[in-house]
Amino acid sequence: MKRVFVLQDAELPRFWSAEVQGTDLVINYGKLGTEGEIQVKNFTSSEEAEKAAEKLIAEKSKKGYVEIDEEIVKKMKADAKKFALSYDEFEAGVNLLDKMLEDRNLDTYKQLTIGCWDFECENCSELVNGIIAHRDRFQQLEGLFWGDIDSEECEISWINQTDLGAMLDVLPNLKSLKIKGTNELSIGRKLRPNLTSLEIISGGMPTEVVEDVVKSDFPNLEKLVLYVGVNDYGFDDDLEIFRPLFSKDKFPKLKYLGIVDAEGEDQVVDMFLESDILPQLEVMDISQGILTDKGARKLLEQADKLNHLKLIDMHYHFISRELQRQLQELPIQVNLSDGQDFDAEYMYPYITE
Amino acid sequence: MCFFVVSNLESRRTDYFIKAGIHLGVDTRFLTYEELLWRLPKMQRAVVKLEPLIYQEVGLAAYAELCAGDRRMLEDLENRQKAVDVHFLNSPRSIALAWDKLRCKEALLAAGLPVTPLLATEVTDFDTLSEIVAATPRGVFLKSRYGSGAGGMMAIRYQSRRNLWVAYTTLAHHGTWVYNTKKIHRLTDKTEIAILAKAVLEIGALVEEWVPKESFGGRNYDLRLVCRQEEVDYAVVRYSNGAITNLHLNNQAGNFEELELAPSLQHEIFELSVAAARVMGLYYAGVDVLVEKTSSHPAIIEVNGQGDHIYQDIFYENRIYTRQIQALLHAEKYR
Repeated sequence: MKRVFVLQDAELPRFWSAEVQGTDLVINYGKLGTEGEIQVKNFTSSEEAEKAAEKLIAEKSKKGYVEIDEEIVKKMKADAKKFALSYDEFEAGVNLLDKMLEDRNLDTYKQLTIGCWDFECENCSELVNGIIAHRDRFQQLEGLFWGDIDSEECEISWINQTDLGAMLDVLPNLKSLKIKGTNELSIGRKLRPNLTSLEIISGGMPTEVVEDVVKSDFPNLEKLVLYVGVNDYGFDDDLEIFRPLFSKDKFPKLKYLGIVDAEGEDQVVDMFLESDILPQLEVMDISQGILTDKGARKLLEQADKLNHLKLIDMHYHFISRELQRQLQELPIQVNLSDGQDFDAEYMYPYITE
Repeated sequence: MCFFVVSNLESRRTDYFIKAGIHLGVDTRFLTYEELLWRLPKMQRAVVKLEPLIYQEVGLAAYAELCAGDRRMLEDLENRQKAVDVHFLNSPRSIALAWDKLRCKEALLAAGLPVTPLLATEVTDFDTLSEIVAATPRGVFLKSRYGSGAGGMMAIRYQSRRNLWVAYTTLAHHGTWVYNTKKIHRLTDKTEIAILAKAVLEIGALVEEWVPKESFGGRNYDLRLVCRQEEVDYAVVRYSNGAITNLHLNNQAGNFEELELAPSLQHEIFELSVAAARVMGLYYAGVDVLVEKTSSHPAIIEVNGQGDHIYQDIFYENRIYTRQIQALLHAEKYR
């Protein structure tokens, strides 16, 4: 029987399948959206081939691959696509919008990831206007990652965004929006009833972007993650700008709230504990910032407020081993991976630019 | 047949090579370079493996002086007389050629192998370097010409639109003394960047284009391939959250297989590594290869004549050193 697995890696979602055919083990793997590569391994018996398949499946499961129905994977293949310019294309004057429009399947993708549009840090207004002009080809879009550009291609704090509001207006089915880079970014201040997930990654979150989120209306938002960053790169050093987000009236359906990557992550813990939104949350994400014993103690002291949570994500933290141990004894799942050494002088959030 | 592994101090490199020899029942011993120079003329039926010298020096200029001394010693070794049945695993000349990043790159280019693009070799002042950086949208790597590792390396980028600079380096300074902290820092002050860059330019440097590396699981990676002139023995993935990937800087090593590269790309990378070892005249080489982001084109970053030391391997199987000795025992010229 063919067994199919997928890894929902944000950068490179991929699939992997194994099928024993007689004494052969046929492995098919690759990026979602492609046919992938096929490898055939020969064994002396079908039992040996089965055994090898089981071993490989165990390894894949350990790495986070999840078994899934083959028909669903086929559908996923047709749904997702990343568009980005390579440097050679950039130098040859290729335009990312043209590259997208040339794709005959463009109007079938439900999930689009937009990577590097320029290597000289130009803003993306031309691309945005192009998408608005060709809106009919994006009507099916349910998920969008805008600015999947890593520091190898451009410093996160150098990514120049633009006002994405008008583009979001013409994507009526958009449910999930992820944006990296906040220079010149605006998402508008409007009612967006279909949006269920919003994540904005920044090295320094500008007040105006937080205000856009606060002043928009997302009645069906279930997941919200904002990267705070540091004041050298756009954040104005006042965590209070995030406080209006901790409101059940503002986000009646929110289940996952992350205010992450903050120098004052301990203060973010206070905001969670003092808020009226905590009882409805399933996930508290306080990861990637300078979360220390101070914040951990507050969580332990008010543990009764946390019992309903499914997960507290604290990965990349500065908590001592003793308090980590106590947190792990809470009757809920906690992620304490990637612990850093406490150093009062040199401690930085995960993304600091 | 006797195997000698040579350095100034015993280390994991020498210990695990000797362990591999003992495991295979081969007489394998440690020698210092001084002992080697003295014993070489009298040696018979031996293979000599030259390991890097170990220094605690962190000062950039002082370390460059030590490297210059090492090059003179390799030259001396190359010219020493030795018996016809005494062989170097990698000759002193080939190791020295790989140490010289400029000559190494020129040799690879002459052989038509893809390398990270060389932008300049004669830069001596920061103003000239600034012009090169400004004209290179992807940024540059400034590298000391001699030696290996990330010690004298800076990844520098400039954005003209907002006059922003950024550099990633392990270098720092106290006044005019520039030293290696062995931790990667991010600098954005042009004055600070200039102080460090000038120090690298003073010891002799080359400027390469910064080619964005492919990423996996949210981390950038490049590859260290340990290979002979016939085949790749070991491939390790070097992950990093930043531009500089070096396993001695607390970056993480990963399994090559987990990348699940297309077989055609994997084949291309392996062929490239083996070809690089041949071009450099290295019997055994550590070849650093990156896969360019988005285009997936492989390019050689560096070749190291003493780059076969992979912690990941020695702690699990010690396969590299074991295969190395086995291969030497079977190689015609060493019999």
